[in-house]
Amino acid sequence: MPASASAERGAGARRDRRLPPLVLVPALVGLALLLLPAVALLVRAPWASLGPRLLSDTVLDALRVSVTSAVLATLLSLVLGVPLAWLLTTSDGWPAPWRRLLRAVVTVPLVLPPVVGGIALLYLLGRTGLIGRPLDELLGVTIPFTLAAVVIAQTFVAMPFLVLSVEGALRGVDRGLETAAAALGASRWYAFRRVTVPLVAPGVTAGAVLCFARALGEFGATITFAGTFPGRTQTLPTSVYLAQQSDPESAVAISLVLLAVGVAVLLLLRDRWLTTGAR
Amino acid sequence: MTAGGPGSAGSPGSGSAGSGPGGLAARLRVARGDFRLDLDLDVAPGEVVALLGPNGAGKSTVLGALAGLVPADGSDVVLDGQVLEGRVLGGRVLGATGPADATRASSAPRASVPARDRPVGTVFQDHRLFPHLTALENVAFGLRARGVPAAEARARAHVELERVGLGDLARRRPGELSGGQSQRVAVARALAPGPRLLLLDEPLAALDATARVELRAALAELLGAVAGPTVLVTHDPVDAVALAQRVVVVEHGRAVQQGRPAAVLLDPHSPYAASLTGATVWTPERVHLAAGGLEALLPGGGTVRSTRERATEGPSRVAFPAEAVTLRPPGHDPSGGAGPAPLPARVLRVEQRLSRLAVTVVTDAGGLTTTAEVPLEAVGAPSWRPGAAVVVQVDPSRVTLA
Repeated sequence: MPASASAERGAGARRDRRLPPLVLVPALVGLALLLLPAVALLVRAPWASLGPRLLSDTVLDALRVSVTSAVLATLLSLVLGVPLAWLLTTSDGWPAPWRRLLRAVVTVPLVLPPVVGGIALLYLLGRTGLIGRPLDELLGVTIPFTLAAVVIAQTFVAMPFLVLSVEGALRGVDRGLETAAAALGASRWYAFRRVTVPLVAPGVTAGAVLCFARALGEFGATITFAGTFPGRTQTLPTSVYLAQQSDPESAVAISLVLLAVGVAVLLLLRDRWLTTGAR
Repeated sequence: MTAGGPGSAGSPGSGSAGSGPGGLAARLRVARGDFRLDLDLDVAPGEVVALLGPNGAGKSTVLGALAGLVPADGSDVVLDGQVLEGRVLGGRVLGATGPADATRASSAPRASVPARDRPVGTVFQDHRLFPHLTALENVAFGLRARGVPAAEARARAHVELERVGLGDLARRRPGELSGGQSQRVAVARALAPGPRLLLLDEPLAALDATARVELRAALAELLGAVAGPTVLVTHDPVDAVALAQRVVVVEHGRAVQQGRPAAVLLDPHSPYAASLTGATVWTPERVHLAAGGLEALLPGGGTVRSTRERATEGPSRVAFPAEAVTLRPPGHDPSGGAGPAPLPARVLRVEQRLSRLAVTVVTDAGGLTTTAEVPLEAVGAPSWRPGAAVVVQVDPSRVTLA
């Protein structure tokens, strides 16, 4: 009797899994919208001249700037973002308005157009900016239109991905283990280093990979705040934008590189890492 | 209630056994919401005390307060002469030693040593081994956290693992250990830093039946070798008998009875303590002398007789073991009225025990419940169906009155 009941349930589940057309059709259209642009890119790609185009000085310089700045932005995001995520998890005890404000500040770069972020950074760190002017006048330090500007712009846009991923991982850690560490004589710092960090490492890795991918693809904030000086601040995305106006085939070739990196990141992340935050 | 372990009697005025060298003296006062913990606990070095009580009685709060994991604002805890919790003046805890201190104590600064600085080892109910560390690294954790160099910590952890019989599993991670092995790693981890107080929260609860028996014996041996005081929490009287020299029955945040485990189980003072062995404890209206012994007047008007001496310790009670209870259908008295006074009752529920049926009845007058054991062959007999009317008789030679 139990066997037949479960068989019935199995058949029911199979029937249930068949989606009604009203769901299936828009789902497939949505999928096409996401997939077909990449297909078009592959079709239009100048396969024959791909090698020389990608090995041109412009592209290699942009690649070097992109990788350097994205790596630095990821490191900076790790250094600042992991403590920020920790702060977010402890903000539960705060009064609701402060808690919401903190969360809004962390999340806003996710919904803000990056170009707006770039302009905001200019007014903060530009030569006449809020902090930029004293930096320039007192220390002679100018940030805009340098590699540092690229890194800061990318960090501004990409760090929230890391913070939210790490926050999810931190919340997943069994508080009992931290209690056990304290009972064994561990200071908060020792417990964090030896217990919490290893347990959140998968979440941190996932966050860092997402952050790196986002930093590598950053365009709006970078072009506004750092410009497109070849070899210094021109990244792959900004070089695509410039090439699109003068040499569309090269634009397609560079786009292919960025597409390949994106796919590689997703393969690297796998399901387990992508769902860490939601656990 | 400051009755302590060995040594308390011979040292008048100097406090109890626990406050001496190596011992634990705790006056725990914790209030959380509706719950209040008000419990004094003195444990001598080498002594194992079991806190026995129902869920929610406050047993785990006692351990938390001793370990510093639960705020224990109004408490005084002194371990091996060191004040872990309480008001301090000149390195001495106040309030605990006598009423003279009380006024000065109210103005003295309070000390509360944080959990990480207490020389206390805790074995958690769910073990809480660090999943990303090997058994050896888990055991070495407390030593490393206190600054012992890595090589020395590993060597000492290995000795500790050997002691619990797991030397060959040092490189396994908790996920690769059985429940019993993980429990032993947890004990080794708690003992490795050389704590002056060992706390165990339901140490055997997370294990299956066969592992429990095996580990209970192993744990008894380990605890026997611990030099400092040990406090363990359990709801299983078998653990208390096997592991502890003294049991403290905790109910509603208070100690209601304490003594040698066997003595507590044989002479329960409260319905909870009685339930551990299937015995019964009722609170009588009064106890008076009657022809041929003592007689207790029960709420509702029934009586129970005893041919024993009146008990001098504990609250007023009527206590008897399950074997003292006879159940029979009403209207049929084989003794012809010569037996103990019958109490009319109804069957409340019938539970299957290993070799007997446990029939719980509630008396018509006073609503008192008691449990009798009847032979297994009586399964399904109409006399023992829930709701059936029965007559309860209690053997006077096995009744304790106080």
